[in-house]
Amino acid sequence: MDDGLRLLRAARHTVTGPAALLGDPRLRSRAAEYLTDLTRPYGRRVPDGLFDAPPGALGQSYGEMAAELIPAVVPPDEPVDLLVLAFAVHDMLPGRATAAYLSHVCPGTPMSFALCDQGSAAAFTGLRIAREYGCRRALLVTVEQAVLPYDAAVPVPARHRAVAMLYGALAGDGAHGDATGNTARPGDNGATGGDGGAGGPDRIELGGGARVTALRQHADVGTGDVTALAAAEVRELTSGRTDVAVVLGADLAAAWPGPGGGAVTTGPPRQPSTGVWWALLDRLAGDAARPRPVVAADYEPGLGYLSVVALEPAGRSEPVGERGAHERAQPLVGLRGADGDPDPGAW
Amino acid sequence: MTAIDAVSVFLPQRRVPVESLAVPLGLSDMQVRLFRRFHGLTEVRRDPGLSLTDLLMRAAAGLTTLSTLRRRVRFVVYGRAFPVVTPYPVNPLHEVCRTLGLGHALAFTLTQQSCASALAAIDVAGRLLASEPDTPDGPPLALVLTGEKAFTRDAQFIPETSVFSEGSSACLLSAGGGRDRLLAYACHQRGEFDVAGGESPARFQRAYRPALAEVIGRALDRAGIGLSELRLVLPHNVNLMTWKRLCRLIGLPLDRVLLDNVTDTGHVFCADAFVNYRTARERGLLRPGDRYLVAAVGAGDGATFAAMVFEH
Repeated sequence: MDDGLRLLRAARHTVTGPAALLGDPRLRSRAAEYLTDLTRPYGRRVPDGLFDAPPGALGQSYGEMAAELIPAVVPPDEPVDLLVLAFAVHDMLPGRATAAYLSHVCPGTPMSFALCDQGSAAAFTGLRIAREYGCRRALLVTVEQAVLPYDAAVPVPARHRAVAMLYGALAGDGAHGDATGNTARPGDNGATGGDGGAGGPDRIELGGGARVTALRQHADVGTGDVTALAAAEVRELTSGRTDVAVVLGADLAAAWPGPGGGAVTTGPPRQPSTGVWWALLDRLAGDAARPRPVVAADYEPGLGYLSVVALEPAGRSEPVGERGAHERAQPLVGLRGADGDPDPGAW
Repeated sequence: MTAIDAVSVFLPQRRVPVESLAVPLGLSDMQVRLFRRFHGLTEVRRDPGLSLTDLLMRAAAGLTTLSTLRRRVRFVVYGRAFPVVTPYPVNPLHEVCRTLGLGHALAFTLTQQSCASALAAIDVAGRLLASEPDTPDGPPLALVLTGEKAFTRDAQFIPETSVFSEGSSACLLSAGGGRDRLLAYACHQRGEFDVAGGESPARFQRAYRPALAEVIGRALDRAGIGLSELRLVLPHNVNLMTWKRLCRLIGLPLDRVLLDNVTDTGHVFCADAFVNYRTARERGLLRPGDRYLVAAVGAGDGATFAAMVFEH
């Protein structure tokens, strides 16, 4: 089965500089009032003087983080039809309709909205919605910042990070002239699979792109059940294949019954909204010379969502993903480790 | 085809005259008079004793069939005007889902279209339902929630334009129901009116009605009907003057727009459409086969204009 989307291009970055908008005293004042009112009913407090700090110490604007990535993945002549912004931790301008602004700066002035209150599952839900829209191109951006401006008593992401992924419909394949995603454009910095450092967005080289061949989400999955369910999903989606890479978000990897060994790539810790996608792009870029299918999975422990996506790089004839019932009984070979790693070349 | 199977609305009993907002919001007498006399906004609903979770639960409780249908609910989509309404990781949506026995559903918030987010939530929920297989108990359903507190200054009023009421709604959707079928949806966003977009508020005021007229026209085109074929328009409750002028602009008789709730509830964020739908049903204004249009404008930072055409 095919899920009707191809990952055409991707870019990401780790933001270290200040948010320019937070240098505007009027917007700082509005944000301070909003956040103070937001926290008061819940017995939390914005520290006195927080908004007297330099912008660099305050946190980020997701509008700026996402807008910087758009030129790296969307050329002006490839209009986007749908833009979805996914986040869990909010930014420092929490009342802003950021997605509406991003529509304005994205070629095609796409229909846009944000998804939240779903933890790490939100980006997977965004991808699922993009599939249902059946549009020519959909841009999925997932963002997180390493700051909460009140005493939340929960871990925050380790770094300010954003990942943008341009998906195209399989029919016509979305791109003009070059469906491979290899065209250099303004905004590219030439990086391939880098760490998305402070030098600006890194465009990830995806060769001919990757088809989304399966996309599944499970709700109400307890921590005691997630490893078995995730393993079963990965087993089903990789069944009969010896060359499938597996990418796990850090929360799922921590509970993974592995061995897994070299076939499994783990997302960076404490990046719940971007981690699995960051690692997925690493995997796809790392395999560019020898493309192979990838299954990526993540678990949102606080809300109980398990999300799984399978992708098939271009140029391969047999998709990973939905397979016939007779194939599902095949052993899971992609996750064997110490007793015979079938994929010694993987990370 | 996406269809609305049931709608429930909750508005707090406590009524607050717009004059009472003058001191806490620092409004002048002239600004208050503008709301009451020019815009027809006389009172709003506010209840400091009700939490956001309370609001959502009250609306859901009004869906009398939900408890028996809950196993068919596969998606819960919370359409919300304000993107962030609780400190992280407080999550009223999932609290409500757990309380209602909907933990098995995929639940998320759709936002950043300001008060037009509810229409996008209906559209998204309908699309998700369309490819969802039947549950063991029957065809899948989606629950679309709206509900907001006037918790901060920006959520209490829009200067010179509108005042917000607290309230909530719950709406059951199916992919094949026959009661209120969604014929068309149109949405147009104007992100240049965001704080970073560079456009002036004055220009936004000039663009407002033409943009809303355009998106209404597009929804009608997609539905394949003309303005004259609409039995009713369910507006956003921004104020009376906006609708009077819009009606003149597009040639729509004002009595075709259900404006009664503007005066005594004001703008209930994303819930306006459902508040007005309930009123239309209670007053018998919709007969089987009637086509009606729902309009919404999200006018926070950035603007979203949206319209849906339904067949009752």
